Parts: sequence; structure tokens; C-alpha cells
Amino acid sequence: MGNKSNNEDLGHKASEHILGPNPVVGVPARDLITTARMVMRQTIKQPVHSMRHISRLGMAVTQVMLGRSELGPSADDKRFVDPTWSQNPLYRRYMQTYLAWRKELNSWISSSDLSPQDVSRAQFVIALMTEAMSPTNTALNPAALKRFFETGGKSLMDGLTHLAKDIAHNGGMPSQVNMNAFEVGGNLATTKGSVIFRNEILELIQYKPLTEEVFERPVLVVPPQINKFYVFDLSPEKSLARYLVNNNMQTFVVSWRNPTKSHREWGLSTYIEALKEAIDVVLEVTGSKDLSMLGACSGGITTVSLLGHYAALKEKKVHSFTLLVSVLDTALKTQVALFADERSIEAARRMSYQSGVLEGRDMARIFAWMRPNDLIWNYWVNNYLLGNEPPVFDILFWNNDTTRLPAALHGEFLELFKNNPLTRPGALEVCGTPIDLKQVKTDCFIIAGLTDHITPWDACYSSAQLLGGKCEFVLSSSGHIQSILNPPGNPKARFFTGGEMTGDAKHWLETATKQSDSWWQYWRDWLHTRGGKRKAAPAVLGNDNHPALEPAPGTYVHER
Amino acid sequence: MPQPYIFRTIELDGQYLRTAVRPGSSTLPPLLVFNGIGANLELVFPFVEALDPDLEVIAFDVPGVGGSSTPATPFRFPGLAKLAARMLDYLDYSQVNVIGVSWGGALAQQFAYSHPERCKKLILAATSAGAVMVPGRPSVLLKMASPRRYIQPSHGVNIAPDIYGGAFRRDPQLAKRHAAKVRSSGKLGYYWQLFAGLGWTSVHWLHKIRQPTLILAGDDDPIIPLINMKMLAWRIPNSELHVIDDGHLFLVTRAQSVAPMIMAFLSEEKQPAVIRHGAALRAPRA
Repeated sequence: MGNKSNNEDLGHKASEHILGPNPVVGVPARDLITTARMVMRQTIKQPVHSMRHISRLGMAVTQVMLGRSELGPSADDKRFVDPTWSQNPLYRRYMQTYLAWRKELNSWISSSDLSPQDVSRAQFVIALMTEAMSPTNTALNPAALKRFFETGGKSLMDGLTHLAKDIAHNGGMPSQVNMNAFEVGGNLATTKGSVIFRNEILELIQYKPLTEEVFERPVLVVPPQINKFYVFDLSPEKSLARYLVNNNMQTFVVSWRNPTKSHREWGLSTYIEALKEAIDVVLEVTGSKDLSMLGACSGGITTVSLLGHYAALKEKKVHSFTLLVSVLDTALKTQVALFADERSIEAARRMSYQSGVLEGRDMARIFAWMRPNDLIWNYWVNNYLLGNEPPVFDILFWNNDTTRLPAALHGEFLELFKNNPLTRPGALEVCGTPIDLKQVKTDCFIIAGLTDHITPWDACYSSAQLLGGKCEFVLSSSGHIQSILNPPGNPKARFFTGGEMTGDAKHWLETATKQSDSWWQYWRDWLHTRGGKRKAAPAVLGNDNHPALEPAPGTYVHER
Repeated sequence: MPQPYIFRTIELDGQYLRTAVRPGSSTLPPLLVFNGIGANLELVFPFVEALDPDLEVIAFDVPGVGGSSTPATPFRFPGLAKLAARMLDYLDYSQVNVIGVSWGGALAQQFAYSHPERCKKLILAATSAGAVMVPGRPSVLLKMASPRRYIQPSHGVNIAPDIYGGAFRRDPQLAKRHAAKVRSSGKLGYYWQLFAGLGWTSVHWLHKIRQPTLILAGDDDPIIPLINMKMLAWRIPNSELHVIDDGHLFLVTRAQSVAPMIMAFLSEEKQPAVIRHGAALRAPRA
């Protein structure tokens, strides 16, 4: 029993931190090693400074040994919750020595004479090391010893079995989820619909209306190119697609193909051309002259580029659009950007071009090391030391169902990240037209997550400032993925609306109104006011030119 | 409409090289062709004409072949690769895609390895890793060791089925047409080319060829058995292998079906995104 709830906690904790779809730079191991060397050199370069910290550590450890130390884990550090750590004198000293060492290392590096950027890199490397050496990751972990005696040694056997399996099948990373518990189209992505159009790059899914009447103006959802589309139709209760069809919207979702080596040259223009085809099909099938769009994360970048392209062509096919956790202005740096200097960006580009794709699995691995406690060591303890099965959790399954990214698109995302062209009129050109976001005059709705560390909400906020239309900015209280999967009825969910858009992000939040429950409902009302007239729901999916080809979730979603 | 070839003979340090360029309007990097042993540039024209008409193609006669001068001393592949790079400088090309056939495939490997910045993508057809290879039948190799087929075209017609395999076994006309295009410049050049390949191998640095690579092999190739191409594909990290149901000269005999494969491999977006540099100007606050 206790195990099960522990397992659920683990999954939820991890899903708070999965880095999800984010097309950024890989951290070449070389840079980590260079940084580690720099840290080592620093000990010698500032001997007095280093000695001072060593002696302070000595004093702290003396206090610990004498049992006079008050050191304890921080409130959000769940590794040491087992009472053994605080009550058993030996374990207590072990933990406090570790904490004192970690604390002193950090204060030594942050007060050294390195440049601020080098300090943050060094902190990152030191954190990798200190998290790995946590006493909880060793076989002495009291929880693991207890399990060992409770199960008469079976937990150890199970743990070793899991370790062997992961070395064989998971590149030596602890599995985050039991991949056999789910099946796409079986217990995930189950909302009824059909693929009504397919080209080289995408499948277009139309969901079956669940209401008598629908609004005239359809909505088209553009998911990120990384990971699969079914984050919008995960489970029956966590499905934005189902929520939309339940709320009188004609709903279409794009399912990107998982590219292979031979699609090396697909770039932003290719994706936009494919989207244009899909939009024309949606308009033809619904008989509407324009539609609403939603773009999420990198799908948001694609959608906005398309809108800029349409604005340059004077096309009026998009009536309103929504951006979900999507950063257009990359001036604000995230943790991922720590190692993103000119050289590593070039190296990342070259490597993906040569191999044709960027492997989603490699990306996920890099991100896991960005949050090692939540995404690696927790599982290390759970799967190996305690011998438990990895959790059964749909979000983690989706996150582990990675996709590749074609080299050209990856290279262009890196360029966007580096040069930030969307902030300057004409600096980005797609499908042969220069783009000026100020010319995009359609109404837009922008959602960011307060605890999102991939697309930080202040970066989303400054992105909202780039567009020429009337913008509604909404801040959800969750993280990156949880902001997307935000079904109504969650007592803990909050969102903020209606701040003043004239100042900076902080000012916006101070002047915004806090509302309870999910932004979905608020967004639904926003869509409805822009939905046109109501009409009877169509009886069939697709039309004569674009008949239903196969039931949702289609074929592309299954390509591994 | 494909444009007519532009022939130029250029001089690099006393070495005359005969070059032919078919100009093109495509945004793709031009395709540089390294031809087979003893083969003058006219022999690749049928293949060039099967490619997209707007693709720019560069072909040349290696020293000692066709219209290029025969050097007094022998040469090796690294020197030839350097010569090819200098030829590109002279003709004013920065980066090209490269296709190498048979003997020219060895030169193409060398070029991609020695001048990676000049070579964007690499295509290897009916070639091998040099000395470390599974040889064809001795009788075939003996016929190959002599330039007689280039000097006396009728002899070439007679032995074509044995050495080229594939379509040449079935269609005698092919060999006649092939022989008609041959322009020999003498035995010495041929022997220099053979000498360049003596003891040369790429097997110890194939894994360092990082370019996207397309490997095309004929399954009835008497000169270079298929297993060699499989080895190339295994050693070159970013490569894909396509086996074609034909002999050694499938680029010529199967031009119509091989050309689309090659074009698909070379193709890039028609209108790629352009990202202009410059200091980030913050958009004025609305």
C-alpha cells in the first residue's frame, strides 16, 4: 500500500520536472569536462580562498561529529524524510557531513573570482557531483535496508534485475515509467476521431463532435515537433481534444511524422508548407473561411512563423490563435542555455546534420541530467535500492515516447535560440517571405506556467509583447506539461488573468487577478466569443475530397 | 532546359586539367564527379543528363586521362584530392557535393576525408576501401589491369560483359556506345592511376568520414563484389546503402532509375528559413 502511494508520488514529482518538448542545445560532455577542469584549477588558483573554505568545512564537520550541528535538509528535499536520518546518531552524522560538504563547496565556488557565467556552470557541475554522491543513493540507505529485511532479500534481487534490464534496454538510465502499462490507441489517445488528410510530414485528425451544435469556426491544434501529439489527448480525463469537442468546438489536431535520417533537410519552411495544406483541408471540410489555431512550445514557434508568413501574403485564414508555453523571445536565458556558447551550438548543429536527425532519447537524457534528483536518483533509489517497479504514469509514458527532430529544423531552432530573430522585423524569412510579427493583427491568447522552467513565464510574457494583435495573457500556476494538461476540477489549480500589459512581467503579476480551477474554461469562453455562429454538428468526418482514412490516433503516432 | 556544357582547360603548376561544367540554377551545391579509372569526362554525360536539369555539375579528366596532361611522375590520392580542391578554387566553388565512381570513389573518400569543409554530402558508387577489400575474380582484375579497352575500343566491346556485368551481359549495343565515347590519352596515364591505388586504403579512417553518405552498389559487379560496399556502409557512420540490380556501370546503364535516388539524397528545402544576424533590438513596448 505504502509502496503504491510512494510510486505515485514519484511519478508526479518527475512529471513536474520533465523537461518535455524543448528544442535546444545538447550539452556536449566535453563542455562538462572543461568545466570540471576549471573547478579543479580554481582550487589552486585561489589557494587562500580555498584553504579558508576547507578549514570552515573542518569546523562544521567537527560540530557534526560532536553532535552539536543544526544542519538539516531543506524543506523541499524529500530524500531524507526517513526518520532514521534524523534520529539515528550515526546516520544523522553521515547526512550532516554530506550537507556540510555540499554547502561549503557551493559557497566556495560562488564566492570565487570566476565570472558569473563560469560560476553558474561550475555550480551545475558541482551539483551533478554532489547529487550523485548523496548518502541516499548508496546501499546504506535505511529505506533500502528495511526493504531488504522485510522482503528477505527479494528487493535486492529485483533491484539487480531492474538494473540489468536498464543497462540492456535503456542506455543505463533508470527507467522512469513502466512502458508496458500503456498502449497508444488502447488506453491512451482514445478520443474518437479520424485521420482525414495525410502528407509526408503530418496527419490531420478530426475529432468526432460530441454536441448537437458546434461553432462555425474550427480550432486546429499544432503540437510540438518533439514528443507525440497525444499530450492533447492523453487519457479520457486529461484530454484537451475531448474537452473541446465536449464544448461545441470542431476540433482538429496535427500529428507530426516521426522523421528519420532521410528527412534530414526538413526545416521550418517544410513544416509550414505542410501546415498550410492542413489548414486548407480544415477550411474546406468545415466550410469556414478562417479558423482558430493553438500552437504549443515549438509548435507555437512554427504557428507564429506561419502567421507572419500569412500576414506577409495578406492571407486571412487565421482568425485567432493561442500560444501555449511557447517562447518567441529567447533573450532571457534558461538553465539549458548555460552551456550554449557559439562553439557548442555549432557543434550540435553539425552533429545533427551529419546524422540526419537529433535523437529524442539523447535529448531526454540530457534533460534528465539537468534535474538529476527528480529524474534520475529518485528512480535509482526506487528501482534498484528498493527493488520497486517503476511507476505507472501516463504523462511519463508520453514523455518517454520520444521522437526525433530533423537536422535542418534542429539547426534552425538553434539559430532562433541564438539570434532571436522574431524580435526584429524581417530578421526571419520562411517560405520565401520575411516576417514581421507586428503585422500579425489577429487576436491572441497566451498561456504560460508559473513554475515552468523550460519556457519561463516571463519569457512567454515578453513574447506576448512582440505580436501586433490584441493579446490576452494568462498565467497558470503549474509547470510546463501540467499547464497543458489542466483539466477542470482540480482543487489546487489556479490561474491569473487581466494584469496590465504595459510594464514588465512582475508588474503584470502584481496587477493580475487570481482565479481558481483551470484556465481551460476561461479559454473556452474566449474561443466561443470568437467562434462565429452555431450550426448543427456535421454527421460525418471529412468530406468527399478528404474522406476519413483511418480512425484516430492514426499511423504516424505509432512510428518509433 | 539543361544548359550546354562549358569546357575549360586550366593550368595548375604546369598540370593541365580539362574540366567540364554544366551550369545550373539550382540552390543545391554543385555536384563534383570523380570518374572511374581511365575514363574521360564524356563517359559521365549520360548520367549527368539524367539528373535534374537545373543541377550544376562539375566533371574533369584526372591527370593522364582524356584531355588532361600526363604528369612525368606518379601521384597518390591525397595529392589528387588536393589538386581537386585547387581546381575548385580556380573554378570558384566553395562547397560541393561529391560523387565518386569505382576508382573515383577512392578519390572521393580521400577528398571527403582530407577536405571535409569542401564536401557537404558524399555519394560512393561501385567502389571499395582500397587495398583492404574482397577482390573480384582474378581473370576480371587482369583485364582491368590493362588500359587496352580504352586504347582499342573493339577490345572493350568484347570484354565488357565480363568486367562490367549487369546490363552489359544482356545488351551488346551498350558496349559499342560506351566504347564510342572513349578518348584515350595513352597507357602511361592509366598506369599512373593504377599506381595511385596501389597500397592505398581508407579502412583505418572511414569512421572519420562524417558527411551524410549515400552508397550505391550493383549486385552483379564483377570488379567490386557487393561485400565491399557493405563494408563501406558499415564503417562510414552516417551512410545509407542502396543495392541496385545491375553491374559495375549502373550509373550509365541505369541512369534513369539511379538519378532520382541521387536527387532525393541531395535535395534540400526549396525555400529554407533565413535567419539574419544582428544585435537583438528589443521590440518597442506596445
